[in-house]
Amino acid sequence: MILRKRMLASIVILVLALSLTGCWNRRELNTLGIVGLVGVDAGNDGIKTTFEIINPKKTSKSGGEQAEPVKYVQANGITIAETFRDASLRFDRKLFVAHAKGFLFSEELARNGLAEHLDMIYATMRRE
Amino acid sequence: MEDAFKKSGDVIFFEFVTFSGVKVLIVYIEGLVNKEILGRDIINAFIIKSNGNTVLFVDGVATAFLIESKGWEKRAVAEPDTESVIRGPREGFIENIRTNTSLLRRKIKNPNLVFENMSLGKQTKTNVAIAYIDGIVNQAVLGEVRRRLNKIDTDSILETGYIEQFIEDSPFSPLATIANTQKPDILAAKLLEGRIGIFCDGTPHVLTVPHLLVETLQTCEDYYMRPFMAAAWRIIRLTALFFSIFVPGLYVALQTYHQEMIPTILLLRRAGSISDIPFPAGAEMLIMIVFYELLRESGIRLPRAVGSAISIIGALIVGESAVNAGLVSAPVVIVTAVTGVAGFVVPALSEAIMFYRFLFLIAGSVMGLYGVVCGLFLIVLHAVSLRSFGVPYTSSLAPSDQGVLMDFFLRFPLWAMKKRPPAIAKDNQQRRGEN
Repeated sequence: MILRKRMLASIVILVLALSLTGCWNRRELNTLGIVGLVGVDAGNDGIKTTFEIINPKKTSKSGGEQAEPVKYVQANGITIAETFRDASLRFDRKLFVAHAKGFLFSEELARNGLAEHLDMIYATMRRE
Repeated sequence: MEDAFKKSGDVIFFEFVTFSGVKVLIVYIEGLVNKEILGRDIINAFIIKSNGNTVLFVDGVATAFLIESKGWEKRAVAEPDTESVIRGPREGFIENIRTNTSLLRRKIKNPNLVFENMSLGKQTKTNVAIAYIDGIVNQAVLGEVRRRLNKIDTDSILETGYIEQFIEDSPFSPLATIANTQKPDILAAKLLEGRIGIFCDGTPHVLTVPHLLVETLQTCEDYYMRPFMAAAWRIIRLTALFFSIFVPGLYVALQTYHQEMIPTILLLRRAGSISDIPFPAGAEMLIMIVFYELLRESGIRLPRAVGSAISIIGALIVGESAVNAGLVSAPVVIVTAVTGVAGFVVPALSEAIMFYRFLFLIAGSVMGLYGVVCGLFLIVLHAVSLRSFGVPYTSSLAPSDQGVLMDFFLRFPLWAMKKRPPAIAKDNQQRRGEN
């Protein structure tokens, strides 16, 4: 009887502990803006990033025919990470860059060295 | 002869002395003889021949026999609806226990096949018989079966399900530790591996113990067809088992937590098809699976004539209209359909599959793949801790033996399987000679 009570208690604790995380990091697919390509430019006060967001409706057969296949969102910031945060203010979906085909850098930025930017991108994507 | 058969309840010895002093012994196996012939012709002839005066005595004996043989109506032996086969015997058990034991006796013509009769249920006095093969059966398991059956204290036993619930090891586990079958050939094969059958009067279902995980993947046809195909079917069955349990949970987990793992094109397709769906993926899937279970349940209970109408409505409304109306997305319908179809491949586990499917769906939609893996740990831990009458439920997989390869994932040729499953037939494992 005591054993059974203990088992029951440990199961309850386990379930409660596991559910403490809640639905952490849950992202519904229709709240995501799937980014196909990221362009990084030098802007007036640092960096100007352009995100190419794929319109998923265009890829499915039943989707709207008139809709644009992609959408461009521009964001500003001192670092790339900042432009990511800025972009979420300018677009109604959370940007999802895990499937991005690539990052394009302007010549101006590239000549000044990319290591810093690449670091930032890795760090940002890892946090995602 | 009496020694050889004395343990068995279906062999009747009827001994009497005629008035002229001749000792007569009549031996027959109940269910296998035509009692009218026995009573009217043989016994009458015997007694009338030996003494013409004993009309009363003759009448008494003959009537007793005739009453017994005509006492009840019974269904003819027919093919059971479930457990149907393409190759193999079609006959199935019926509600009459004596017919059932005789069907088994016809498969195993050996005095070592023993039926132990008992009567259970204070009100119903239901006839119950334990069947086993003396010399193969594990005595410890047999003793345990006897002990548990004798401990049953209830007013009625109407079906083997009653017995099952009184004697099973883990009543709260979704995994059954007692199997049942409706077919004499399956029962014979299980007894020959060292298992024990429990017949109950009034039902065509016969229980077999101990019941192991491996049995749920086996069908009788595996052994009737050539090993190549049988092995392929085993693998297909395992795949189906995996599909029917995990796919809804995995689908939801991948779609709501791990979009990185989905190939880009597929992700875009899916994002396109679900962009108008009002529900979160987990809820959507839950709705569809509940609806599927509902359709299935109604399909079983409905009269046959209405069944096709319901399946058309179900297929059309769910498959087409719900997608067109934007209530559920097409991938979810596909997943539900695959899951449902796969669930029928392993019928012995259908209850557990249904339960685990919901478990993994909820775990997957609340905690993602992490939840699915946690759930997997839970069910594996549970399965390996189960026992059926003292035999570990996952025997031959864990604790492992050569049976894993011989008769679990694959099915080796019959001539290669020289031993019975060691977990079940402990003392007498040799099935055939070494050559």
